[in-house]
Amino acid sequence: MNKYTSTLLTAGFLITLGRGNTLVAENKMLTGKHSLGSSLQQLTKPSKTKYDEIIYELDSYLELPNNWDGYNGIQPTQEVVATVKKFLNLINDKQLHTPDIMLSGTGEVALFWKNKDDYIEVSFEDKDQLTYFFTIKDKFYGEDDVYFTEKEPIALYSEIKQLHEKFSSTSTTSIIPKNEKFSNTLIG
Amino acid sequence: MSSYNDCIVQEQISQSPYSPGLIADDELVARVLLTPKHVKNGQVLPVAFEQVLQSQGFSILRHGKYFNESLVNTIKLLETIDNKYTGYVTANVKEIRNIFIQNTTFRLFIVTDTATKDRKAHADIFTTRNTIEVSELGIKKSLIKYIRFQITKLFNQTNLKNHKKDSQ
Repeated sequence: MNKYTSTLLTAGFLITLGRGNTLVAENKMLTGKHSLGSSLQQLTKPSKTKYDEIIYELDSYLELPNNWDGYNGIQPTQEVVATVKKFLNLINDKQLHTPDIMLSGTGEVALFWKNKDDYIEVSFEDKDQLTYFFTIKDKFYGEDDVYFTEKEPIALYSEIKQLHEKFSSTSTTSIIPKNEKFSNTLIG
Repeated sequence: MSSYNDCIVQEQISQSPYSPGLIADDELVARVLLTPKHVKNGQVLPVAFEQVLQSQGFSILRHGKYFNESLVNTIKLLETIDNKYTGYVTANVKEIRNIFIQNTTFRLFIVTDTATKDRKAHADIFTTRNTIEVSELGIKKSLIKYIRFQITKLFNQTNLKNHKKDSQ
């Protein structure tokens, strides 16, 4: 496969991700197995996208009881949740790949993207601030307490875009590669 | 705030009368999980290790002689109506002890025997980042998140309930 074909396929994959709802509806109409009513319902009531699922999970964090993780875990603040939503909207507007989401016992919300060799994590602990790092083949780069509403973290966007290009449509790699030995020396 | 040496030496002195002995490098230690929110696709997430970098210690169990009864008692102690036992993940003690801050001889973690009467296998991971010498290095917050990510890699043996591992 030449360079141009590869680039086109990557671009096609990204576009497909961005149009997920529409494609689901179109495919169901093409199969002819659905009644007109259910097809119309699909068109007017699109299925949940990954973005919707992330927002749903994020909102659910606010409902968690104290000690939700067995180690005195607390829920995130409303301000942190609102900040994460702002950032997710930016990600969505820039048509960047939707991340996965996780919550720590301290109430910190973190978003992450990963493939076999690379990992990006953006964490939110305070209003309108984020801390992020990315690791590409065990090299580390990070920034603390970035006020992203005033100055967009360009380096972060760039890394997310580059990570996109490494994803393939069949990528289901795990968050932490198995059998990978940690070098036991931290990069300071 | 204690000195780095005062912190490190705790590994060489038993911390509890209930302890079966000092923790050797070749032991395995387990972190008990009580929420499915810290597991995705059969693997534990970095946020499950947030407390490893806090000052109060990170509770673990030695995966040896007293493990099973200590696990049962840990579940009894920690499980509530809102959080249920999800499984445990294990790591090798030597790998945890061999994490150094680059360009220094400072280790980042110690592993000590903090057994209790009902949980003789109980132990803790403490960070040295709050000691005088290491705190002066001013470790960045983003680096702390990276360390959390790397610690997750060490706890790579999983024994999780109701989670299928990725088929790769």
